[in-house]
Amino acid sequence: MFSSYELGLLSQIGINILLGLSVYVILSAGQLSLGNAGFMALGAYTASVLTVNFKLPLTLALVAAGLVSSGLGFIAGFPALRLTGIYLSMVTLGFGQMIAAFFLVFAYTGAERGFFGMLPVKAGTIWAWTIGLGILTYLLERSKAWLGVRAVEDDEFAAQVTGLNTTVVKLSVFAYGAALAGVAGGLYAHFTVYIEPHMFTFSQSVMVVLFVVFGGSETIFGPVLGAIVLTLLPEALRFITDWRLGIYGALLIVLLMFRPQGILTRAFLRRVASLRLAKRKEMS
Amino acid sequence: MAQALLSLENVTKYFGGACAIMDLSLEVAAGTIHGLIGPNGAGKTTVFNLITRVYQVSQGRIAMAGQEITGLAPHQVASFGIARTFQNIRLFKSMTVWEHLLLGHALREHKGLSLLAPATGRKSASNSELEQILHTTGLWKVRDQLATTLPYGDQRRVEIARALATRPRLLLLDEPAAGMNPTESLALRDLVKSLKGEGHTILLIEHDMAFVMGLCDRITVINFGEKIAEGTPAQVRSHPEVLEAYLGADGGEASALR
Amino acid sequence: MFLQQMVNGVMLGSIYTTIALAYTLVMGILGVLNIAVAETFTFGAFVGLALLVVRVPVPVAILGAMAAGAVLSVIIERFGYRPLKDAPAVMPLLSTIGFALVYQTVIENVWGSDPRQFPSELFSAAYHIGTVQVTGIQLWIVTSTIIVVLALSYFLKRTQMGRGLRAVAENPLAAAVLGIDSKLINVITFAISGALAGASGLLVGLNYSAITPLMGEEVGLRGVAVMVIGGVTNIWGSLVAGPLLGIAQVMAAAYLGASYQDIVVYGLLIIVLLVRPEGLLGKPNQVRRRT
Repeated sequence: MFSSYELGLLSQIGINILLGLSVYVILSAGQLSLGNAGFMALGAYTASVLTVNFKLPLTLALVAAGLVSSGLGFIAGFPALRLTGIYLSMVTLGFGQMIAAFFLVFAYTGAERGFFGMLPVKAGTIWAWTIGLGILTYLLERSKAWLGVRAVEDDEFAAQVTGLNTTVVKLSVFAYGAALAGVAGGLYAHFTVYIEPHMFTFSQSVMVVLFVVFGGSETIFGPVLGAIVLTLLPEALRFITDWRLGIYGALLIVLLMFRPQGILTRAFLRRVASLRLAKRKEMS
Repeated sequence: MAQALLSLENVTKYFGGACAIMDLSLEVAAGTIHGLIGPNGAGKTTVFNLITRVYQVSQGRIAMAGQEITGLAPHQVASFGIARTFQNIRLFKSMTVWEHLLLGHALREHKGLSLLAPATGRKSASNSELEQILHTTGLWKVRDQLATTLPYGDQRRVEIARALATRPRLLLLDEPAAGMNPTESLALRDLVKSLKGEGHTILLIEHDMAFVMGLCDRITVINFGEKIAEGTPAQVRSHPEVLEAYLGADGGEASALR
Repeated sequence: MFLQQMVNGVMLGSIYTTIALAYTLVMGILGVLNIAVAETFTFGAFVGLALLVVRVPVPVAILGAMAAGAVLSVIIERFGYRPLKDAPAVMPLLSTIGFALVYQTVIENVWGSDPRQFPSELFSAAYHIGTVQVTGIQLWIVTSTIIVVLALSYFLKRTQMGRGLRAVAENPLAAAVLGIDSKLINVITFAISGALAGASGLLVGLNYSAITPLMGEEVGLRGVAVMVIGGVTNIWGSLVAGPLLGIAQVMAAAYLGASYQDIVVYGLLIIVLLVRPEGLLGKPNQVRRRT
């Protein structure tokens, strides 16, 4: 039905959606993480070691990858508590770089030579995880608990005084975001069947942030859109591959000047929803 | 004599070398409306910040119904039943009025997994409580509107509603009538009166003398961080030091004292 | 051997100091992290090289690199900082990331991805002090770094313009009321930052006698680390932290292996952010969360 090229593209999209969600979730509490490639790396190596060295089934390995990454995400959240804005992002940057740097010297996983031996994963499996975690995130967003997340982003001080333990909220979103990135990493490792530390650099973290900034940072559909468009764009722009990153950069600059909340904003979605409602009323 | 719900005992607060609050003792009796007044910069909001643990007390003790709260973290104070509004209204810009109430309520009542329940739903016991609050504060009609798009007077009511949703034993209102026209001010006064009627205890900071005098059961006056007078509105109104403090600061306010 | 490593570390550290200063100026005065300093650094190196290849004298080439860097930075001020200066600081940060991508792509496409050599006649003899060897260029770099720090410090403390910069840093609104043209200040801040980055790039190129389009990316983030460790609001902090990090890095490479350099650098960054986020010489209130 799909060519292998198209399947590869679909797989990429699925993985990138999860990555976009990982940044989105953390950003929902007002924290911009520039180091999610690090969580991705941790998940990638964890899952790979488990399937290759310990012969665990992929599903289990991915769950483990998510858990391990979330643990690190939780830890990474602590320094973030004491810092604001740019300093918070800087500490996430530092963490991300640290993890990549760690794997560069970690002999057990091959250090700079990388790790391989993974069995390739099917696009369908990737999408099962993407859809599953996507739905989970969607439901979480609609829960009472998420009101706390929004409160932290809107006015952390007021939230605290109203009785919200903002520390728990901020750490939790870091943990959850890291888990998403970890699972994405595990899937990625089994998609490329070879991983090495240079795949998980700052540039990768930036790309993931781009999905959210571009697609929309206010709703869950934003990173989904961003991941889809920015994964497909290089294929459409084949003829200018050399300029691809520059184009993304220019897009980012222009976007931030004119529409910093990204393409899909809450207002936009509300307008679409009300338009649909009006249409339905017309037709009935 | 009603027992003290909130008590401050010899509370002192230093910011670096500067003394903001000096040896302040204060008691708020349950079921009353207690006013905290004073000229600008007297330290009134600082007192609120001390009670809600935004600032740490340098010396002294704060207790709620006999239990010491001096060492708590800010978010724990709410679980002791203290809720507060802010001088500059602080609402959650992404939330509707209803969501503000839901959050306040969830923070008090829900633990663990029930937090994962959807944040809408109208048909449960706890929600009927929130609906009651909406009616009391006159916000029923605008419950699904984004709180920050409401007129100023309504925004203040949302803040109060959010506070009420946390089932407080003590309400701290920081200049609730600030920025309101006389009509809004009057409506707010009636609301606060009705809250007292429902059994709430209220500690209120205000500049608007008419508001305070007609509403409070007891008033504490502070200036430069120290208590200069305390008593019923009538007692405070004619207290010489109070008159001096206000005459010195703002002649207009002194005339309102009469 | 150990002494040589120390000297190498200090040399490397001077480079980091200059780059850190480029970051610190914008961060300390305008509160924004300009990620594209790294690419400005690279651009300065390439422009400088282009000038040297046509036999322009070295000091002029350095000025050329500074001018090139200043131009790139001023562009960022106009389109990345100015439209976003009232937004939370992460927004201009994201914009500078966009510029970094653009500039890097331009550099790679204009000059290709291969390393380029410097004309060989530029290289002076090496000096031997005891068991240690330093080249003329390295001495140049260290002295010019110190001069730059002193000059910057003087500029900020003693000159009218410098004080204008500091006023804007403390309180832009008050500065505006006092008649300080903050728009001009912003442009100048970015310009000086860019000039520093550009010059630094060329000096590094001269030191290693070769440059690659990726040199900025490597050094850039380490420059950020130096800035944070030294203390964002303090220029002298960069002077202290630069050699510190340079030595740490060189030692790590010598005694643990080249691959360990990043761990040491970022490890130090994280530790500082955890324990003393205002850095060694910085002031606490600008960084820590106020509760």
